[in-house]
Amino acid sequence: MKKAVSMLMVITMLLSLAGCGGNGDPGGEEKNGEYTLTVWYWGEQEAPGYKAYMEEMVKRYEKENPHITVEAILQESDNLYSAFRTAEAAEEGPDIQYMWGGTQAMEDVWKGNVSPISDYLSEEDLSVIEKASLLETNWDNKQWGIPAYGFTYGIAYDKEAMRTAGVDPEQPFNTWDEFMECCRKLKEAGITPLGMGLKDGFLPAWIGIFLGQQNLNSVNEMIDLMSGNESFTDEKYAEWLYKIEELKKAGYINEDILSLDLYQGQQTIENGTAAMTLHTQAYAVSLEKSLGADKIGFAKAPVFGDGKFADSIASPSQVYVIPKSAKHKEGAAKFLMFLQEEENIKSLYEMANVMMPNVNFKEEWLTSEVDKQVMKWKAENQNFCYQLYFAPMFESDGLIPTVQKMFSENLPPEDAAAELEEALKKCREQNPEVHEAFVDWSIAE
Amino acid sequence: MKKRKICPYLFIAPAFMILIVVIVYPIINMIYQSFFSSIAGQDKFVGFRNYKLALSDELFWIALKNNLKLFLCVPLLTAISLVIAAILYNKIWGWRIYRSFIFVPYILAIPVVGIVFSYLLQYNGVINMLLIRIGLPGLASDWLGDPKLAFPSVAAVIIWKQFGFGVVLFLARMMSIDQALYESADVDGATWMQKFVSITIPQTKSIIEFYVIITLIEMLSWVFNFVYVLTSGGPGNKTTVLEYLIYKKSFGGGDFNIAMAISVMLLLMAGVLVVIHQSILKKED
Amino acid sequence: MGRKKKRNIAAEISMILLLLIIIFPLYFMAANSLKTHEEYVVNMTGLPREFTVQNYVEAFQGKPFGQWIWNSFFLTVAATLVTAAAALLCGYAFAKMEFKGKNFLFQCIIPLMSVPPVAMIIPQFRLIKVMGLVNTRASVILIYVGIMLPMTIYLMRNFMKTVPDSLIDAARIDGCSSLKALFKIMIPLCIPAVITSSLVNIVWVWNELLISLVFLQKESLRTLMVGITLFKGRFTLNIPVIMAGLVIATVPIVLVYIFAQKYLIEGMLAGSVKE
Repeated sequence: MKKAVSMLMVITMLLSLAGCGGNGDPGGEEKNGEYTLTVWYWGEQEAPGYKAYMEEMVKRYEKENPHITVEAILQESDNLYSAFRTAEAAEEGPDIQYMWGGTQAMEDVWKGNVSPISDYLSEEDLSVIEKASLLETNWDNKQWGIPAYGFTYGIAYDKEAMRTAGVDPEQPFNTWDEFMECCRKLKEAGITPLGMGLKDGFLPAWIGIFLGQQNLNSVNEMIDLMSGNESFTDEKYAEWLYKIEELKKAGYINEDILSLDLYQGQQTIENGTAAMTLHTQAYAVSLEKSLGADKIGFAKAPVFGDGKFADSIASPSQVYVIPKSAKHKEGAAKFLMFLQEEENIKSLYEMANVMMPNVNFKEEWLTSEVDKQVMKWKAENQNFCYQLYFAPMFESDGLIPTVQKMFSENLPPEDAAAELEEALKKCREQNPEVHEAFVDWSIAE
Repeated sequence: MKKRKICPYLFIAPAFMILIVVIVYPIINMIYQSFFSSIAGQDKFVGFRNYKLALSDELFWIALKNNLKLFLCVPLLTAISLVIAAILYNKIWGWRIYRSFIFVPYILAIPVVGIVFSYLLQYNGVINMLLIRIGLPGLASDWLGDPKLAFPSVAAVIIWKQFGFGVVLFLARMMSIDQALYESADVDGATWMQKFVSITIPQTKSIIEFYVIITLIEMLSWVFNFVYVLTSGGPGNKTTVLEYLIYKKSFGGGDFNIAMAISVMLLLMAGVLVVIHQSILKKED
Repeated sequence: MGRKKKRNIAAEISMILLLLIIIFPLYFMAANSLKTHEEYVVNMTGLPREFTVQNYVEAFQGKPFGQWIWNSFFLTVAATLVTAAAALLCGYAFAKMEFKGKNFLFQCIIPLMSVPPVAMIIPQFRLIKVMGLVNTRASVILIYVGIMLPMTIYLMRNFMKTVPDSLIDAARIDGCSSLKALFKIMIPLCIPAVITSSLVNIVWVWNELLISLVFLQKESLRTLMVGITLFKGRFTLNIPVIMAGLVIATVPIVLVYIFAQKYLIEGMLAGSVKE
């Protein structure tokens, strides 16, 4: 008997351990309209200062609405999606979730993890946001995401290196031929023209954003390609792979590309080992501020294609969505509109160097040369971001390994195109339902 | 008599209750999910579709092959650890220092190890710099970027980090071997090697067996973090392992249910390991 | 005699080589955390010519390291203790008791180790919700214990198997109950196994990232490992600052090891003397 008692004690000890500890999570308790709004966000990693901005927003919002507490939690890159999908599967998600734009947000829409934001916001509310930016997460005649901030891709370059090589540092290139000429001069001057990092796999999509869209005429063409109505082996779609090969063969890319991560590759321009790198405007601005406007330039991708998007710029937005299990959807929508208020988008720009794609964004706020230039591009060119329309899994199972093989195993571009075609086929096979929703997307446009 | 029968179950109850909640239920859920397709919050029965898709994916086979290659590390790890443990057991000069340091790699966090080694193994990294400095520039390579070297490099880092566990484990067992056995062998004039083979190894057998099984399972389903921090599965999928594939399919965009099918197959493989293990044990008896 | 000496020299040389291989990456981390970035670029492998602690100042800036360390510490201690207690009982039953279904149950333990944690997260989260433990330390502790138990039980059982039955029988004859036999005979003999497995568990919990990232969605509950992932992307240019961050993350666990080592050795000796 004694044994049994002591055993039971051990068991109850273990059980009580499982039972205690939690001081009761706030969750859905509402007393006299008081509630807690949970926000899971990201962004500090690509827009330094975003965390401070978010904390400031929370402070302001809580001051305006004393009955609301906002709990904003910065997520790591590794768990932005895993934490959300896990919590959502148990219907314990946050009230507001941050997502990377395009398919990366739509996938969760299609999987049923998201509520349409347009159920809680009127068209008038949404009219302050740039149309192109809204379209990125519009599907089935509903609006699913609302921009957290936008940013623009470009080639950051070292003006000093351009001067050394005898290239005009203000206008180094426009066309592909001029770009190759610029690279040749840099190489002759003993400077590595392009510094990039391929190890962690983010780079292939980046290269696609600069070069992949150049023969395309519409978003629907991209969706046709991804959904198998068009073939990747067609030169129209594969030409950019040949351009990569061209750069590689000519020796214009850093030779340690395979052992650097994306960020490390980008930093080659800061530590002086390369003259150019693929960058975003937010980082180029921070370089401009630390090194000076006469040191860092920011250029558009060189043009080789003949599609309508040949000279387009990529200025996508990251988005916020309201998860299906959110407990305070109205409150979430209200907070998201609060972030769109003029004063707050100004703070966003000042604190985190990123622009809100909002019609109230004022050009006179701009303080940096890079930003002024980006503003001009946005006024003059179409906005299209290749990566936003990737079929689910296309990047991880197709683009990343294939482009890595082009560098590590000298895979020729025609074989690379064939591999991408295969990968797309596999993605469709493995996600037939999501694929259907994906095709719907093009009709909705 | 009745008491006696209940008693063992009471001993194992706490552990099994936790295991049922934390592992067994998730496994049942995993098996269930592997036969369904979840879309828009609805589960649809699809039979073996997820398994077929997983098996027809080239990536699965690449990953499986890499896991099997990692199995080759197990005899190597076991042998290295045993020999080192035996050397330390003999109390060579400075053995306390060695013993202290040998376990240190094991206690480091994998992200820490991953970051440090990626600086060492980079093309413009420290190891290549040293190779050039000592006059062997021919050996300098892109350790993590070369498709032939990437996987062996990852395996080497795994061995570097893990071997200390074996040493400490074996040493712990050896220190509790009855000294009288060695003393009587010394009287018989046995050499170090003879004592190692006829006393140390048989006495350590049950721990060796434990170590081999644990390490095999580690190589099957606990190497994800190494791959994640060192190579992200690249270049060109050369270093992908099954667990990394499961992670990518569950959370990195893709079909969660296929990930569950792969997990079930992983579990079956572990089951096969157990059966082999059991039959070897029976043969020895 | 000559042969014996030769063998020792070979052993010593290989141990010294091994020591170098172990130490070099650690040395690289520690030495570079004390250099300026400028010096690192020209002097990657040497000792720092001018010591600077600036990197540590920068690494510490604005981060609640104290909170992170406390959170990690709490989870580690609680999960390790519960695991050891449950595994001792269970391992003893498997090693020294006879009961129906014993072999089957024991053989189930091994495959349980092989389920990747990634695949179990979603159902675990659902259960945690049912238990009302969302966003609590208890939820993570429970999961950690569950994941560590199979290996710990397995290790305990194999260690206990090496203890001669005669000792247990003697205790029985003296009129000891099973529980008394466990506490009086087994546990003292199994201290090396308890310490070894606890050390392994401590290391694992301390360094665990995936589960704590997903289950602890509160700034005040974040662990040290989650904290140091901040060093992964942001500071990649300034390698000495990264190295300083890694050193900060590593020092606590190394201190635990140095402290535990004394007990580890005592425990091992205790085991050998009594047998």
